[in-house]
Amino acid sequence: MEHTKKKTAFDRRKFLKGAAAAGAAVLGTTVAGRFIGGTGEVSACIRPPGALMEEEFLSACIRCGRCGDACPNQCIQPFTEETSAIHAMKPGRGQRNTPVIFPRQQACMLCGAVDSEYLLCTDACPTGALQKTKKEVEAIQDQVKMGLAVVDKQLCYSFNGASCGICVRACPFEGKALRAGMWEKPLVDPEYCVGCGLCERACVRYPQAIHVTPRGVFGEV
Amino acid sequence: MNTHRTRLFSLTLTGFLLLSPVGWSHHILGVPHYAYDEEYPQTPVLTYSVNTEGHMIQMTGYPGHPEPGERSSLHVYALDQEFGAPFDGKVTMTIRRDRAFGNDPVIYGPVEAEIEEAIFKFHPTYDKEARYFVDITFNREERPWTIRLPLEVGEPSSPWSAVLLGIGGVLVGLTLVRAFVIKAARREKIDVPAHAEPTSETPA
Amino acid sequence: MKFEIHKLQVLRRATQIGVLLLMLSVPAISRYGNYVAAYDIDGRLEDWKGTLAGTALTVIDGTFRKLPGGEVERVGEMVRSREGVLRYAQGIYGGPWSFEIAGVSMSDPLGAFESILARKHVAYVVAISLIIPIVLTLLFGRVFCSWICPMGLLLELTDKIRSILRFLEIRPRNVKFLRGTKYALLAVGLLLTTITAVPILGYAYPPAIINREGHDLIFNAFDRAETGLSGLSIAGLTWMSLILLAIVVFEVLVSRRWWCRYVCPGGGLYSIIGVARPIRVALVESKCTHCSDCVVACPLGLNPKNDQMGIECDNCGACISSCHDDALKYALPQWQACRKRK
Repeated sequence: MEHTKKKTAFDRRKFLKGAAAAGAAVLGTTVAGRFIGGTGEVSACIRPPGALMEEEFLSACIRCGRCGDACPNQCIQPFTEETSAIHAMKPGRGQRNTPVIFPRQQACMLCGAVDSEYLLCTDACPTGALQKTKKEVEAIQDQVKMGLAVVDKQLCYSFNGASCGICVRACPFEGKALRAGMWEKPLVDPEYCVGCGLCERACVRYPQAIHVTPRGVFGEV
Repeated sequence: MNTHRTRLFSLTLTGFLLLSPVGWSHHILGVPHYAYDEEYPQTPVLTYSVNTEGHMIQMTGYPGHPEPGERSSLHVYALDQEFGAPFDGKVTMTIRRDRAFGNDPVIYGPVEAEIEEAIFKFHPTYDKEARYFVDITFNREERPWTIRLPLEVGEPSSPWSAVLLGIGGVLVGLTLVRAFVIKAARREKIDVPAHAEPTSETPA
Repeated sequence: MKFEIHKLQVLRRATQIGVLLLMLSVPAISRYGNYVAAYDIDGRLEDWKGTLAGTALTVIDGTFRKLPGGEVERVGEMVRSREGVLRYAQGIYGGPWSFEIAGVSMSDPLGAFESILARKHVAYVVAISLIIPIVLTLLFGRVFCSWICPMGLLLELTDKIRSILRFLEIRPRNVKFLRGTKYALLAVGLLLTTITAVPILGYAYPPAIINREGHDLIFNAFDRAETGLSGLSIAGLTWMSLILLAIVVFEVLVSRRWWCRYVCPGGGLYSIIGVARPIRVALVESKCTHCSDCVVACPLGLNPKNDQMGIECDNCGACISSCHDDALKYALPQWQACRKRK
């Protein structure tokens, strides 16, 4: 009898200690989970092709980095302080380690250089955060909307008396998404522009005269 | 007389071509010197974007990872968001080395630049691998304002890494000394005749 | 029998190290595919000869070219087949958090469940990626922890460090916590994930952190190579590595295998899924001499001696190889029943 009594006393102490530890761990990890995921305003950023809308994307994505491994142009990077600081950005609430594209550094080629049935990152995604997209003009036009190219007329050579047209030649939907106007002025058609950023990558102006504005900014899709 | 006329005509034509911006235009496409590198198009990876005083200010740096002793470019562009026109006053740049202790020596500037094709161009050379900060002053008549941007050249080592390395070294040293002492003590114990020690073996 | 079980431990350690190396090679393979796609691979192999990045590329290139379809004959000479090696480079993605090889997708159930709960929608691809992990766990229990998890490998190292500390006569403490913590953490984490619609457990879950940090480290090595630097740099890591470091230090000084025993929410989930595993460690009571060697050996602090392993045993077999009397073995319950009848 005495043996069991001793055991319960021990159990109670163990239980209290354990409960305290459990409480601390639960509290600590939930606080840490919120903090680790990033703090502050959700920043508008360019997601890989076929991404769900930002809020649903942040829910579905498990931050595994498979899309980044799949990208034949290595343009998909994890959104961390380290990768985004040089682009004057910062991951906001829940955004840390989610896949992001910085077109100035490397833009999405829409898998143009490789043979594949699907856009490779959308094929690699294990959660459907990137919706599987066929590598065909219609499917891409239909499903991909990473952002919209915007020309800064103050900076662009073609709007300031010299014709350039490099961005127009870089566009995968040349003549549709980006047309050359008078003196090769770049004219963006929001209907066709998928926001791949190849124009921004190609621009010889520093700072670039053509930028991809993330889709969240202009509230489309 | 005929030659005189031809010369006059060609001079006029040259003058027109020189004066008209369109005449220059076709040099841009395909001429590599407009890009910064032979591996054109090579974009800079260093970008800053700041919104202050009603201006959207951008600075790009090339090369993106500057090395000491290498001439680099910093381009500043400020767009007045109200009027949609670039800032066209004078811009002054000063670069200081960010030292952990003591004052921060100025390594570039203050250099004043005029607007050139809508941007302000600076070409600093950094003297050593370190952290720097760039002070950019926009000289407007009523009230000049300054922004400060950080810059990293090469791979500067943080003073903390030296401290951590020191602590680690001391710990490893202490561990080794302790291991040595304990081993010596055990060897002494073994040297003592073993017959006094109880056997730990138990019958199966 | 003894010898075979010993071999199993060697195989287990080899698998753990193999998984770690495979995980680190995935980003290198990804970069290799990038250079092949950009028609730049020969230049990289030439320029980076002798450096870490160059050696990694050479090994990958050599391996892929030996695989069927990796080389084609052109003008009487065997040359790299661009499509062939790209097919291999694009057949392997991810790490221990979520992995794909040759089109077979596997995700950690914790990540998959978090994604499902946060999005409140079961995507087809998530369901597919759950099949293999769940089936394996249903059969073998928490084997992810003992065979695959790179954090498990790292934390088995803390046992070694603790024995060194004991040699140095510095007594590392061994505080006991409550095992229920991990289930509480799992429940609270999944609840918060559902409420906030952001998968938060994955941020602090070591296999996921190692997956991401490993990628960052290797990608950074290639970025360094591209800007003319060589070797690995600690700058490639983010501060999340400090979470791993903190767990290691805590386990060395305060509590043996603290994370796996008491805290890991993923381990908790695997335990729950594997609750009815048919393959488990069983005790042959007639042979047991109650020496308690197995209790000391168990990394998860369970009690094989009393045949009370519960749901948390990860079938690592450490107890079996520590037993000098052949009293412990892997067994299917039916076999056990047959034996008892005899």
